[in-house]
Amino acid sequence: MEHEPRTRALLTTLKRVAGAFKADGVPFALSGGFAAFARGAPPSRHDVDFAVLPEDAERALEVLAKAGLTPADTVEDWLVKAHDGDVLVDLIHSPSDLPVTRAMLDRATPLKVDSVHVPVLDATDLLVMRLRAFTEHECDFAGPLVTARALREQVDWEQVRVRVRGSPYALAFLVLLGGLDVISREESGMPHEAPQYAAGHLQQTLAEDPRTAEQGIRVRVVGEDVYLSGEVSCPRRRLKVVEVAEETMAGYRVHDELSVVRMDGPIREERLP
Amino acid sequence: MITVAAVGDVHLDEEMRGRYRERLGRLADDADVLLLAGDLTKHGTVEEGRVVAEEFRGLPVPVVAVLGNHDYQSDAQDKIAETMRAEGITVLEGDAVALDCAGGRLGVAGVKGFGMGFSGKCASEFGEPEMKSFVRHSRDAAERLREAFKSLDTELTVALTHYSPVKDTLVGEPPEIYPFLGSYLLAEAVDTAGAHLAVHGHAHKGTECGLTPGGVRVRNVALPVLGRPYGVYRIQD
Repeated sequence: MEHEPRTRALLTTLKRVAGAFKADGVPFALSGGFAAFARGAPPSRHDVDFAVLPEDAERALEVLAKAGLTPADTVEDWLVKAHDGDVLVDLIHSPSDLPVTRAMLDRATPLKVDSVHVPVLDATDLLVMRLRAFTEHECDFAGPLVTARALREQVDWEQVRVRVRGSPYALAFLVLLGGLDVISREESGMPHEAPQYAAGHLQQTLAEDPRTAEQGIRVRVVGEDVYLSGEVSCPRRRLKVVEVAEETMAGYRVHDELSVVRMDGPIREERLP
Repeated sequence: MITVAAVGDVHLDEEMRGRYRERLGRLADDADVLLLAGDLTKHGTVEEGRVVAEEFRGLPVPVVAVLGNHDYQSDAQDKIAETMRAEGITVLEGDAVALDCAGGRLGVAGVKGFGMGFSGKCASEFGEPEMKSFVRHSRDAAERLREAFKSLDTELTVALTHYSPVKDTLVGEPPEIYPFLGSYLLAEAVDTAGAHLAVHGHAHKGTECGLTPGGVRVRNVALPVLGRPYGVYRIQD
């Protein structure tokens, strides 16, 4: 595959670093933009990121120095850096205050990157790391959006939602993904309409939708469950009411507790004196 | 002595064709007249109106009807009434009919009626134009019911409405929606006329029996309330 010169330079560095780590037995996984690239996203134009264990960071840097890279000074306490010519290599060990763990590296999958096999961070870990990195000053969604679209089927979004819970920026990004239908509403954690309003709106819909035109349906919404009760005039209309309710309340479980009006009671005469 | 059969809220459409009529076999033995208290259709379409007309045509007793709010849903209420009249059904809206029955002459005054609420807890003609027109529609309906009664000279009279004249027969419905279920002005018209019975529908979860402040029997004959094809009430002067 032909890449532009910048990408080619980055890939050369990537292979050099991976080769050095493999040779010296440093546990690592490809992270950042090139991990996304390995999993199907467009190639990154920036630096090359690797995840390493916090206790291995210094040793990893020495291994890279031995392989001809130049360790760089960093003020950050969550990564170390090295230069390979004008390409910057980030060795990330504690992204967003969450140390890289051995379990995370074990979850990495060996994938072919430009003809060599490199362990690549699990897609869920990758997204969690990316989303947790959003801050007040770094919350441009454009890049991560491309990554999310490319990796959507490989990611356990439910787990992402749980693991980014502490970050309002990450949660906002998930709502965006839900709104764009990149992921489902449930996966995005987008809050359902407040139940009392949802019930009110459904009740009005059941009255106004020409398929139902039912005014006497009682609607109760409890959590993810919608309960319908009341009487309808025939069995077919009962199905219609459930159909409209399910359509209106996507993502909820609709419970049919309706009954059909009976008109088979015995006729009796009342005498009004 | 006259016996009146009455039902409302049958909500017929194509799917229901024939299902109600098959329950009317004993009608001639049960009653002198059949009153229909509105909401005869589901969506108020002309097609549903035709089902209603065919379901109630050619019965052995006279059929007198008012329309309900559902019958207005498609703006085809006039056409529905016309279709029913063409099949020999009397459709009342602010007027009355006198029927010769075996036990004497019966006058039926009918109007759809409207919401507004009940004494002390009702809307007034005040504020926004929508509110004023809501209340005015209710007042007009009650006024027309009064006028309809005035045109009758029969000994026995019955009021036929879709909306309820009293709260008694709404018991079972959430009290919050009472103002949409009826108006006390209808009861006032019934009492002024000294009617012998008032039948209505509309309140599916209500109660069959009630009384106006003046002591006139009120019967909620909405089909879901009755649970039988029609209510039968024998009245005498």
